Amino acid sequence: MTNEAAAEELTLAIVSRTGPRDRDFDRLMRAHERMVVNTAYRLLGRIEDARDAAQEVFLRLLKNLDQIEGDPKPWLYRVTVNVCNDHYRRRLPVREPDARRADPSPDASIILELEDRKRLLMRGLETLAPRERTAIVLRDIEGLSTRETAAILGIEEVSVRSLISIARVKLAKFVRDNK
Amino acid sequence: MTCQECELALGLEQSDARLDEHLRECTECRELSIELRANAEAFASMATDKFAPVRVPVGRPVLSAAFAAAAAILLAIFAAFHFREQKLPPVHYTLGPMTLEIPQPPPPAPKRVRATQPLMVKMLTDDPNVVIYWQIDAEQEGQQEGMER
Repeated sequence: MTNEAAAEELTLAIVSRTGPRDRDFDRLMRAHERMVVNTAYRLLGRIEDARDAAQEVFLRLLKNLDQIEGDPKPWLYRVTVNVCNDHYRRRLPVREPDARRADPSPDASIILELEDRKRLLMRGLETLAPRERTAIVLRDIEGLSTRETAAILGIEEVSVRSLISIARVKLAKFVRDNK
Repeated sequence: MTCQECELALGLEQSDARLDEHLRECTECRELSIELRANAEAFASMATDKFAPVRVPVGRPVLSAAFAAAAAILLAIFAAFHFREQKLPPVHYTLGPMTLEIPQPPPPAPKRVRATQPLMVKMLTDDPNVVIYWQIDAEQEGQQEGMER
């Protein structure tokens, strides 16, 4: 499904909704919007793509609202990862992030250093294998446990630990070599 | 401990005496360790990054839907009026005795009536007992009718 089609379908679905089921959707969306967008952004590296992916995720949430029982977080993470993987395969190359802003104050330099590192890490995430990238995003950025990450990826916990370890070292070397 | 073992341990965020000893001795692994810690801080910072929320177009589509509904109603009203004007009157069929009408020939055109009398020409001859009359009828124009007495 294209992004435009997904957005249109979501719009139509939202226009036609009424009742408690839809209030559930609103509540869930408000509660997990940041999580979905942030995860999608880290996986895709571009905020426009992340928004498109988030729309797709919430459309799927709307369609499957009746089937989700309990905490929807694992379901949302899983769908976000799947949507981003699909998106990642067919998208265009990512543009270089914006250049740094010149600000000589000490506090600003610390902030800039952190922002530089974050930009480098975003570029570094691009170099990882999809599973490594997903594992790092879920475990280190979203703060999920190894067990939760394993459940979302559908692999064993030991495999997650291995993926995470390899990915962290790769990213550290990438940052060191590109500073 | 080898550098490879050290990298694995650093990646898993493990900490023990052997690792610390290796880090004291190996500059490269120490630098890697510093980068890993800095990356962890950056990741933590990423988790709190704020993004503009995904705008799910709730208000605008509802408004659009209202406009669409109004347009549909107007269209329906227009169509109803339009088709009512064009509707033909209802046709009623009644069955009755069948009659055959034979078309009559058109009535003959009235004859032209000459208002004037036939022209009479009287011709005298040498013989007093013979007189010639010429009567000229309009319908027999060009024809001559002779009468002898």
